[in-house]
Amino acid sequence: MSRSQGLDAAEALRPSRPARLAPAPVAVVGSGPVGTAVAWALVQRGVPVEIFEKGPPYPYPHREPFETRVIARAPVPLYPPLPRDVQRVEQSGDYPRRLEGELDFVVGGSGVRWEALTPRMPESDFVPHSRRGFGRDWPVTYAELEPWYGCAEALMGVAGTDDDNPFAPPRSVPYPLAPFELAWGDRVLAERLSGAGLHVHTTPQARTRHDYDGRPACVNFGTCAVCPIGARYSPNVHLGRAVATGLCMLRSGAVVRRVLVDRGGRTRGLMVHDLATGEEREHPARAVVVAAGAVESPRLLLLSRDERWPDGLANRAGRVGAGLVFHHLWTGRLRFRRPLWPGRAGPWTAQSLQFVDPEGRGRHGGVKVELSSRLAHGTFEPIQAWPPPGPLIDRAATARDVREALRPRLRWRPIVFHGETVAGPEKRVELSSRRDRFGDPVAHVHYELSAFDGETYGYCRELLERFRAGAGAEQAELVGVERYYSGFHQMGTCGMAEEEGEGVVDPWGRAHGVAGLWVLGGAMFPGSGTVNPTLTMVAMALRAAERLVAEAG
Amino acid sequence: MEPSRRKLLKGTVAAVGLAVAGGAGLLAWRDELHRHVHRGVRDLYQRLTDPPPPASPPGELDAATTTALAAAAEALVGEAGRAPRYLDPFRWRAANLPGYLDVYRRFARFVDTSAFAALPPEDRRRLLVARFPPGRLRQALLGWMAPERGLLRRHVVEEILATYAATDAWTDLGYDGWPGQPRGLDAYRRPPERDRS
Repeated sequence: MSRSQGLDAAEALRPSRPARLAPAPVAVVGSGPVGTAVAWALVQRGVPVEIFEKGPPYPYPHREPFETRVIARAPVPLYPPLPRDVQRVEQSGDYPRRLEGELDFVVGGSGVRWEALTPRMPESDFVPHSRRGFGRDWPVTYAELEPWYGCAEALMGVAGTDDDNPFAPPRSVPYPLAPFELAWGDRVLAERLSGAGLHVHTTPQARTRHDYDGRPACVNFGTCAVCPIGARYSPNVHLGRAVATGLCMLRSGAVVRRVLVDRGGRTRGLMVHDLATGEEREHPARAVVVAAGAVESPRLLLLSRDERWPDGLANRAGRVGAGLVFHHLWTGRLRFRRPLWPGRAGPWTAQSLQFVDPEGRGRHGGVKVELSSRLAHGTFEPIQAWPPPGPLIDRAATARDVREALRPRLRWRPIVFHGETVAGPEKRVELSSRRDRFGDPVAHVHYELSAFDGETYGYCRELLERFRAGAGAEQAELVGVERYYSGFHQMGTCGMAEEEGEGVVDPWGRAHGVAGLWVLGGAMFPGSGTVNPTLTMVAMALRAAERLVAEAG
Repeated sequence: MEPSRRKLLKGTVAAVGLAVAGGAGLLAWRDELHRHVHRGVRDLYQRLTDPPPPASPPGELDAATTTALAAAAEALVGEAGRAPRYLDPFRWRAANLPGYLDVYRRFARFVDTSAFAALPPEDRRRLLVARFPPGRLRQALLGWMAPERGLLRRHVVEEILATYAATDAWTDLGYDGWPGQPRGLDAYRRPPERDRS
């Protein structure tokens, strides 16, 4: 493990000499947006924190990855991968992608390369059952969470406006930053679509429309997975600052194997393995916050079983790992007679929340529609605003061949349907029979589409046709139902509920029946909702941190 | 005659038995066999069309190799191919990843740098197209019949074209710039200059 302390943020996040500090009262497992938000909130209140991250450090801003991945286009990973067994995830079912490629074991977690879309969840997402008779209502209302949304937006520096979005939920404070306006091509489409009763609006996002909180304004490099100036929010902003306070210790290369519980049923710390030294040690802590994502968080609880918890911590009701939900993204495209010039805006621009709570919701899921100039094909890799040029390059002899092969793509615009799902027995995380180097079972994810999901896909096809006709496109294409992907949004494996029998954690994220244990992040969601989840995760984390401070105090 | 008829019968029974056993075995193992064959063919195809650089240490590009690569970029892309952005990927790979320096030196030797660089760009282009023809099938054939040329096509010619696709192709098609450049937050809200004209 490397310990980081003091100095400036970028320097602080580099590996430094191993050391030992007095135990912090709060241990956080995972350094992604959620673990970071909790740690930052706690150190602001003077509570020392120790963060444990399995993966390696990552630079911030991303100057070095920018040089390698964008300028040199080097065939190297974004960050050094962990040994295969340490990051292995077994999977079965029909999910067509490798989940291992979606889980970021690195300081900053998935926040090192996320797309930074930060919509608030609509009010209807909190009450799907009482409003539409499906799924589970959240034990937290939008109104309760609303002030925390404002805090999360301020923390991450969210640019946006609701002036053009009649479907946005109410808010008590303005966005911290002005919005990124629609790209020209999006504006053309928005005007055409409005004539057909389809509403497209700007997209809230954690990018700096102007200088903000020590971060420079975005200048539209467009390679947002690796932002060389730090305009796109990364948890490493606040990790560095937290470490610099002297109250936060960040340990990278630290594999947390168990949450330790005393005889009285209260957490007493973590069992941690240092990948660099091979040393294994107990780290005492009065409270443990598990913020390791919806796959690794339930795995840690399941691994931490003992006589008192034979099926895993906080798992008396057998709900740990159940309730897994992804978002289901189906990508499509529309072809127009004239070029609409996709790919000119790095920041995301157009989307539509018009269909997150339609009449038929319950028979199928709600859908967010993304019609952004940001991408011409769904990808999280830099400079692939067009589909990867591999096959095109194969067939090219000279630059002219490349150019002529690319030309038709100017007339295609992407459209992405971001679908809701509901939990079911066909979606779950369990322990695998395969083990890592410590002898611990790795996570096994089983995930299958249900009939509900098939209905949602059918609804997306209807929407595609409406958008095609409304926008005046000559042709529309959508991938098959089986070619869905999660958008890296995994949620729901340690769901919130008031009662222990109904969920794993309470509405604050406290594990039912295990004093001092908190599980935060997407894992605590009772359902998928319809929009990108990170802002909601961070808002919930800041709200939980406030309670944690009160209890720790 | 009797013994030979018996022999024939025995032989026939044995042959049929073997055929049945073999067929049953094939049936039982057909999925596995199919997987093996499929994987083998796929791996072979992959090796032929995307040959990895040889195992050799990284290092700095020398002047002659740099000249050969720059001359190739200019030939394939035109004037813009002289820009440093076409050499950046080569420099980085040569200096940081094993095998690439060796590949680039082989390219310089293959084209004979001084003679190649002295040719007019159009002649250089013709030479490159003739020696490194496009197409996956041709690439596979090159990889099989002339592995050196297959290696150079993949790691030199295709890299130049990929750099073009990621950069100058955008402006040639009418964009104001390409991802990776600080394009600012005004231009994207208007049509590109070329579209306006």
